[in-house]
Amino acid sequence: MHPQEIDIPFDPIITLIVFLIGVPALVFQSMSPDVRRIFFERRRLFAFLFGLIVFPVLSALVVSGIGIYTEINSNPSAGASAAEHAVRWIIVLSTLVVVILIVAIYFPLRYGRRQGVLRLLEREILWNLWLKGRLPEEAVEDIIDLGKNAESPQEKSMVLQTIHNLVLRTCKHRSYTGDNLETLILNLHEIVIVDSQPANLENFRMTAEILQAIAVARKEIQHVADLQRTVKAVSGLGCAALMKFEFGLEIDNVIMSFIQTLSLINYIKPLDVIKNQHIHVMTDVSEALFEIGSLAAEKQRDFITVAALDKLVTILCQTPMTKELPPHILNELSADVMGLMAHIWSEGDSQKEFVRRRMPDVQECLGLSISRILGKACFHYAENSQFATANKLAQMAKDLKLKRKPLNN
Amino acid sequence: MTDIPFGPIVTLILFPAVYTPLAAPREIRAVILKRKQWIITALIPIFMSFIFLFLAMFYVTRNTSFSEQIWYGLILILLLIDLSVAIVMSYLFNTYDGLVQQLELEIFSSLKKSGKLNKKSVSDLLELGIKTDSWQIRNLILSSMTRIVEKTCSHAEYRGESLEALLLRLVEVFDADSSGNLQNFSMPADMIRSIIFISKDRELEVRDDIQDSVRSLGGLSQIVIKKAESQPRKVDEIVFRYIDVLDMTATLHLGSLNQVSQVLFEIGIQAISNNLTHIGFIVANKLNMLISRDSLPQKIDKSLIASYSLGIISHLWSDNLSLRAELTKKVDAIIPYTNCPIGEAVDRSMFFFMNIMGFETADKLLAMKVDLLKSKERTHKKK
Amino acid sequence: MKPRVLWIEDSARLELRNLAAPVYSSGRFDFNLAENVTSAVNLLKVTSFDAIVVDVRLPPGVDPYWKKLYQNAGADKVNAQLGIKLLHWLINKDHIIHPDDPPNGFSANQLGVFTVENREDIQDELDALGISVFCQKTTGLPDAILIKIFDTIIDHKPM
Repeated sequence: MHPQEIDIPFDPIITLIVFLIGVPALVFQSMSPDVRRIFFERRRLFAFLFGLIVFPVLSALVVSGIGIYTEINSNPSAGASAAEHAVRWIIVLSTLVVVILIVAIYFPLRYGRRQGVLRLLEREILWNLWLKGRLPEEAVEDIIDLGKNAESPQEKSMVLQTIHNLVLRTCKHRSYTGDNLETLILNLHEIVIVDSQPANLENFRMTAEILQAIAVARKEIQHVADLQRTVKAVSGLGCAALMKFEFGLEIDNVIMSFIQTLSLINYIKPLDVIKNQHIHVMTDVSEALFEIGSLAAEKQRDFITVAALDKLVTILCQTPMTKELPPHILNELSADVMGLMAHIWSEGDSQKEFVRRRMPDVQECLGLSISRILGKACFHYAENSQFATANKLAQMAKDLKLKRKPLNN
Repeated sequence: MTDIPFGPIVTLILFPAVYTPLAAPREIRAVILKRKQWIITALIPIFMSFIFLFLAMFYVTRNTSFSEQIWYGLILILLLIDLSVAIVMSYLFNTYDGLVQQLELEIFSSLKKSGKLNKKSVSDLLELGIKTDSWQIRNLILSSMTRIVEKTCSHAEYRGESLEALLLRLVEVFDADSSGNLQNFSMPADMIRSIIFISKDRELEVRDDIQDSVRSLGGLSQIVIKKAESQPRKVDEIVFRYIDVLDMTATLHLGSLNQVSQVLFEIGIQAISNNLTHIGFIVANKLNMLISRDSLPQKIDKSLIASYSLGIISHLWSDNLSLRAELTKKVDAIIPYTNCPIGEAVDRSMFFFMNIMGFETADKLLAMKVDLLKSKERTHKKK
Repeated sequence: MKPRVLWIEDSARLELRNLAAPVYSSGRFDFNLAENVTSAVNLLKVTSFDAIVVDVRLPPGVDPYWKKLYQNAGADKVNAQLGIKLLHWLINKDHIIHPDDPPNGFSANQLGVFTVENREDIQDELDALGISVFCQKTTGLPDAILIKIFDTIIDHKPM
């Protein structure tokens, strides 16, 4: 066969292959910047992606090569007709078109969406967890980034759901010591609190559940580091929810879920095993409840304030260890209770009446006079430069010294 | 074979597959990619193009003398196909109109199949409403929501608890609007009115949808009232309309009476704290009317409505000396329904608010009670 | 020690404040609230309760298994009746509902049901679970209804 007799449609083959190389680039353009950044900056994923670009191009080249090879080796004298020639190239070109369609449709569906990248990252993290028993920092940061940049609450919720799965798997892993989730816990708030986006209550609720999952992790844990971080995160998110949502149909419920998470941490049994650290977690929980409660009092969200106070009183009076607690810890706990009571007290007469009704519980539990408890709490806040609360306590002590005026007179 | 202008033909054939995901605007792309219809919509023109390509090849092999013209003809046909793809896709996947229509169809189809709303589509629809900056688009979405509500309520299997996904997040659509435009705020009133009327016609009990509607109206009122500074008249008009719908709800569905009273009270408090005393006053009137309605069955506990009514009056009392004579009359009108003397009635209301952590109202009730009793004492002495 | 009580309730529309606030106000209970099944299970895992009041219509929360059950029921709280499923899992240790072991130490006399459903609609389930405390959520309930339900469970009285 002479070369001039060979009829290979190079023009369409080249066009199709160039198209095939160009399609992923076009798909990249349609991705949101944060998803694209993860693809380009993370070598593992990039390699994976590179394979996905190279593989279709290679298969296109192979298919074309087979076409060219059979064309060259076909024997016109053996009766190879024009129809056979046309069928061969139709098959080759159709295969190339199908490959392009797969790339053009599969790519945006699989990787153009946050969900696709999220799944890849989740798989990578779980693989690492299985191999090394810990979460790869870089991938976790990427997940947080995906959540932070997600535009809709549903997309954020997808990220939060993935984080929840990761938390469950990590906490169930035999190598979990109670100190492996720092990056996740400390950055969780970045997903739900983004200044440029309206906050979503459901997303806040999900963070509370993630933090609860960390709190109820395996009982044989050795450290309380994650637990302490969880308390800080709950406090931060609870206060943020109070600041972000002024009204709505379910705000109180969502903020209650943070208060309930703190309460749950206080119930945790394994903490008894590590008593010394338990004490510090107790004071952290108490401080967090005080922070949420006092902010709620300032925002006149009375239900939240009272719920926080109720939990504080429970921690102080109902923990079986109350009597064994070192004096400085007991002081801290009682200062938080009295501090929040003072905030409530300063809001009005009905609040004063409410506080009066709850004071005997505290008095009974501490076995001291109210003026003494108030004095100690006032000193505690003044010492910690929390003068606003110290002033409210001083005012409350002063009011109590005056003759009590019954409310329903 | 080499005569075939494959370059332009291939480009034109593949155009729909690449055009669709790229052409969609960023804010609605996520919603589009979730729906697989775009793949079908993109594949149909591609298959059509292939059919034309094969037809062209068939004619070229039969009639070689016109081969060039046939290829030009094919390119022209492919161009026309791509043009229609661009137009259809631009409408379906590039505009809110098309997308909203598509979501609505999805919702209707699930309603037809299962009698329930497709929650994911509803959520996407709401999300579009929350994200958009334009009140016109929000109007489009709300119109669609109104149609969905009407169709759901008219469905044979509707039992008054199908609209949760839509009603609970309705407030978010309005809350996200930072434009200050109140154009769309009357639409939810019509939407909720249809729920109330249809539920009454079908003699449905007070279930989730009516409760969610009442709560939504409360939430919406709070958003509207916050915009009072810029458009006071429009705010009055909208809040009055909401109050009327609430009144209608309590009239047609007695089971919602307590919840309506509570929401009316919340609207009143919010209005008073935003210096819209007249709205507070109208709320007090409405509550008084609710409690004094002859049609109320004996078994209904009126003490709760009385508490809310006294509560709102106490808020008006503390800020408006000039209204006190009028407010005293209102208190006197409520007292017979509480079956106790005025002091005790106010005390009960005060303890009710203390019990539900409504401390501010409890304080105001106490202050009002002291004033009222003093004034009664003075009148008594004069006599 | 105050009795430790739990109310599992998705109180999106029945005003949380009106029913829960009186419990806080009374100061008689160590009161806990879980608004979906995941949160409830988390709480049940870490502590025991003297009384638990459960709603029938509950959302699943983030736990994948409860979520799957919910989605299998058409993502509809009315159909899914996760409250009942949770009770079956707790009392009958039904692993078909959830593969994890339920927390131990729960008996029917610690549990009550507070829901919008009519008693007749769920009586068979209540009988199967051995639960005798039931209260239907209607609009005209007294504020202290939850306190009453908790007291009834703690005093082991039927309702």
